[in-house]
Amino acid sequence: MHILKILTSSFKFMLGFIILILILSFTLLYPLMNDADPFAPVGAAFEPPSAEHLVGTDNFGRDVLLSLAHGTRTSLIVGVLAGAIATVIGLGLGLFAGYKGGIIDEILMAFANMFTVIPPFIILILISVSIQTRSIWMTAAVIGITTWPWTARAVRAQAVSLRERDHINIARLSGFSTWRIILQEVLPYIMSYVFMCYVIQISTGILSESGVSLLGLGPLNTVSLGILLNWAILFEAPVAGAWWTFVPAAMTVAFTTFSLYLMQLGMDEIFNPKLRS
Amino acid sequence: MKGYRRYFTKKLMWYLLTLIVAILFNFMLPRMITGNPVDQIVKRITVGMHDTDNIKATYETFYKEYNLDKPMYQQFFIYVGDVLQGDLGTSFSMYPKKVSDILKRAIPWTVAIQLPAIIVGWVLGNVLGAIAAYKKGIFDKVIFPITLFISSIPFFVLSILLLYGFGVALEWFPVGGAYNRTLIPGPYWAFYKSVLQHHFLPFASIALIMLGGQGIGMREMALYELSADYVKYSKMMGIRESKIVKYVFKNAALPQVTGLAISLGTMIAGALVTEIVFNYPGLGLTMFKALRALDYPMISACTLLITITVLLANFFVDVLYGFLDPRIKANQIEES
Amino acid sequence: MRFKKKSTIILALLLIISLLAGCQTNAPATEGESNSKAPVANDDPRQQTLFVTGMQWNPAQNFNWFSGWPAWPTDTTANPMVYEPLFLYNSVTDSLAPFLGKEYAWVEPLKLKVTLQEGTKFSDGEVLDTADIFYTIDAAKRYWTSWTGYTEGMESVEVIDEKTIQFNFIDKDFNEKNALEMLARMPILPEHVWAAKEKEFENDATKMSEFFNDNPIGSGAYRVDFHDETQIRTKRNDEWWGKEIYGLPAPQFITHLIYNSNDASTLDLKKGVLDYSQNFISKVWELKDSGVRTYLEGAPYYTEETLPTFYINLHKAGLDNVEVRRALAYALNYPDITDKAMNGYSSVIEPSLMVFDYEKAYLDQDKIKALAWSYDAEKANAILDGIGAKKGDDGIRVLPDGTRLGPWKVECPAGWTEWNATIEIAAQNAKAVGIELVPSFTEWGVYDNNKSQGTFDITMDTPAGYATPSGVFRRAHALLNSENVAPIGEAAYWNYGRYDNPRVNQILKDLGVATDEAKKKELFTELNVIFLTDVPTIPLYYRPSVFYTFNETVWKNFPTEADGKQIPASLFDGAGYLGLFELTN
Repeated sequence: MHILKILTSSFKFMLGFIILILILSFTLLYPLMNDADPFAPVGAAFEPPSAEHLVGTDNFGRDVLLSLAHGTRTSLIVGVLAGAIATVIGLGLGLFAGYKGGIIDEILMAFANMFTVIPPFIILILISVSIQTRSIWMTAAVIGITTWPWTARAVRAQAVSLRERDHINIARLSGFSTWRIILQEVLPYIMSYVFMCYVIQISTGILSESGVSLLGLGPLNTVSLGILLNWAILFEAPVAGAWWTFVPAAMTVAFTTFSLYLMQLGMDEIFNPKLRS
Repeated sequence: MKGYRRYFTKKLMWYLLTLIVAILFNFMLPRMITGNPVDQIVKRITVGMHDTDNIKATYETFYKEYNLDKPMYQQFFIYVGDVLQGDLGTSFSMYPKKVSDILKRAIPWTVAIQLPAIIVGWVLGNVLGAIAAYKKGIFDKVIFPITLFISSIPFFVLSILLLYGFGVALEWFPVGGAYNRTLIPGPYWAFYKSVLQHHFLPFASIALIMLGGQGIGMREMALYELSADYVKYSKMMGIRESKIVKYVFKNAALPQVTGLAISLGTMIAGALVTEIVFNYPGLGLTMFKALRALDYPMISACTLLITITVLLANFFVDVLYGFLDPRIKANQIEES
Repeated sequence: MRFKKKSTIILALLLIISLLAGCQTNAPATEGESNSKAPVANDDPRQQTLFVTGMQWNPAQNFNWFSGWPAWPTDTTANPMVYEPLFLYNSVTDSLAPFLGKEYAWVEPLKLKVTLQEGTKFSDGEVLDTADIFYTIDAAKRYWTSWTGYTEGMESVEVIDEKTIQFNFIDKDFNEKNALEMLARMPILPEHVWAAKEKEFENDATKMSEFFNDNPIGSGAYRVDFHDETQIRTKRNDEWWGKEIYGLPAPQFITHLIYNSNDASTLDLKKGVLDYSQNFISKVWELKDSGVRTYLEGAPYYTEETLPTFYINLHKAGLDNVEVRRALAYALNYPDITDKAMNGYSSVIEPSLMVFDYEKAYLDQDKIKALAWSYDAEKANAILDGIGAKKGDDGIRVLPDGTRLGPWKVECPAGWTEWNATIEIAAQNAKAVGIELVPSFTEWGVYDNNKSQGTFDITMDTPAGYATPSGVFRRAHALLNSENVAPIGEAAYWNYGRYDNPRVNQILKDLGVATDEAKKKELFTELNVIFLTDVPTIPLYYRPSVFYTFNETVWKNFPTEADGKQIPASLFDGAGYLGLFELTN
């Protein structure tokens, strides 16, 4: 709870957190007020915002506000799932590489760098275009396994700097196994840092999902923020002047990632052990 | 130079390895799709054909032409051989146009918006970040949050907002394409003007994001450097401000070069999405169309090209960084 | 401060460039103003060029009929701009107008004689004679082309002299209208060009299909002049053979602009950058003030020529029950579909196989009336109740034998706007009576595959979507004929739902040879009665074969229904081409 107190005193973190909460509440509460199917046409195509449809209708005559709520939910779910997968993989590999050092470290980091230099977005596209079924889980999994390098590198840096600490040396002398040391001695030190990495991975996950959905390779038969933008581009909504079909979706993506970014900045100032000392 | 040579060779080996992995990916993934990849072309040619023998014969011809009758590893070597010779295959959706012909026409447009945008964005971003760090005050308070926001939003968000805001709503710029489609390309002023008009918004969206990212980073580095001891000391010694600033920025710029390397991958790939939003006929839009049409040779070629470009760019920056940072040479010498 | 100076200069430069580029904006032309703002292609006066769109979505891929997919202006066999057919079919008068061919006659029941016009020649000066017609048919036997199908019903082709040729048809399964369709949908190729190409490629079909054929040589009034990513431009051949007989088409240049999708082209049509568009335009009546017009002055704005239809897989449990299909037919809200999906561009559908008025004249209304359905959700529910289909907890009915009425996928390609919208509406309508339909929008290749293999539940398609003398026959054949249809799992090219009724097959054969009007009426009526009784497919709305919209700011005198000239609504298909000769500035 000491941690909570520190967090709440950080302006950046709180601002980001509040924005995120606002977005979350909209996503969760609105569908409770309006339980219609977001795919049901309820009006003519491209109707501007009115009292009946607060954010107008899209090219199929569907209510945009409802699609926005459902879409944000899907994007958040994918972001959280993908972020979790990426964080777990990155954490595991980063800890192992950082702690062990030497040739293992070099190989693993070279491997991680490969996944950075070969644009993850491109790998994402290649995999998405090749698989038959594209569900939320599938998309999240694919994003997760292509975006872990960031966490891996960050965690590795932490592990390297902790490697020579006294309590680690003692544990090593006592003959504990590598993984026991990693899990019991190293990990607890950097938990808060890991959480911060997770926040970034969520943000990356949301961005990747919207990017890949924008290209038309996202999950099938659902609506997400990226899919909303994909429809807007495919049906040339900007040219038709139907700003309500994409500006809200684009701003939601922007604000969601911005809020996560703020939260991470705030946490970075607090939790980054390097900066701390 | 011995230490440097070691650094260089190590980097080169690693890049070559990455290149092989990339090519493998590009080759394997589209081929993992179930179903006959040649279906599309054959379907189109045999539509209306009732003679099943004839249809079968057509399938077989195309099977052979695309080497689908050979085992996978053989196909891979043929693929690599072809790629090295510059033959990236024949497009499915624009049959019988060759993929390399289509790419040759698309790449100049991508380079035209990305290269200036990255350079301008990087330079301006660093300059703005440095000024913000040095000046502080209102300049910093205003610029910093704006650049923070811009740097955290994805490319397509900014692109779509710019397109709508300046293109559709204000009508200051045209809403898509590389030039007015009623014009026949040629060396005359109206054409050049049209090209410039259509170039600006996509260029600006990439430059702005680059600017944002660089600005943040530079400001942080500059702040860090400005608080360093040597600055205080130099000030006390009465060295001219401009000289101090020069040294500060030189030191701060160095990590920015690494930053450039890291962000290049995301930049190039992300900037392609900008093309899609603006209907700009570069590599990104070509890839988008290929994805929609499931034109596998085209998709493979685009992703390979993008990957290689990013690899090259990173390699170049790494080499440059090696020359710039004397600490690297020192490190290498130490390690050896 | 060096950095500061540098940055200021850079910023200033950027500002200046952007200002330069930004000024001279493309403000839309105000109402009535001539196109002084519309950009002009270099050296072509705007007044001499007709800008069109809607027939080509990619840069030109080839102009070669042996490729299976040539680009505009060689895109359809009835587009006479470069390669010309013998006659031009007019869907308004249901007749064939002379073109390359001067006249045709059935000299005997199976023998069709055709005489060429005087002076026919190709754009390179070579004479066009019956040897070229013979070659065109002969080549289609050796390499598959769009007109190979016609050759299969022919026994022989006799060249009587340089101007006269006779087609001798086989008696079995002979169809007179089909034969006439060939006269309108077979482009005449120059033998001297293609025989040489065959030799060069050593008769290899793959090489023949890969040849680009740039600057194609045909007998048409236009030549391909220039093409790139954004346009295909054609230039009129002022030495065209038909000059004496028909005059010359008015535009000196016809340029097809290539768009990525509809809305940008609609914007350009509104601005007067485009003169003619065959794309779907939303709420076209709102563009009237910009000079935009359609073939029909008022609603429904477009002619009714084709029949988008739900093909139902008649071998799927639940859908194989005719009462289920009938209930579905009653459940669909046709007025809504016509209004929302089609923007009101057609009258509400009267279910049958007939579309044009002269086709509907063949129906004995007394026999049809009782069977024809219309939107009636109550009746749909009554039918389903009548067969014991009870609604489950989720609102979906289950038949007494346990078969649930759904989920059934309704397929069509993603991005085909009004089709997508139609299916969405249909799904909602079906749900209301207890049938679960699931919209499934896929890539065109997937949809096409499922359709031809019969691995769908319900799919959407337009039977015989082009103007042809054999209209009803083609449509009925596409929907109902079961002869030569491969079973489910193999590729079929019509009757995707695999409807099988020997009586229908026989009627179609009889219609092929029937000449007596009374007999035709009897047969057509019987065909429709069977159709309405068995409900193998569900027609959804009427649609023009192409959307005919134009802007008369630069060019005037586009053919319309009101002008009485009876020119069909399509400038680049059959007799509609004659409209180009009527245009003025």
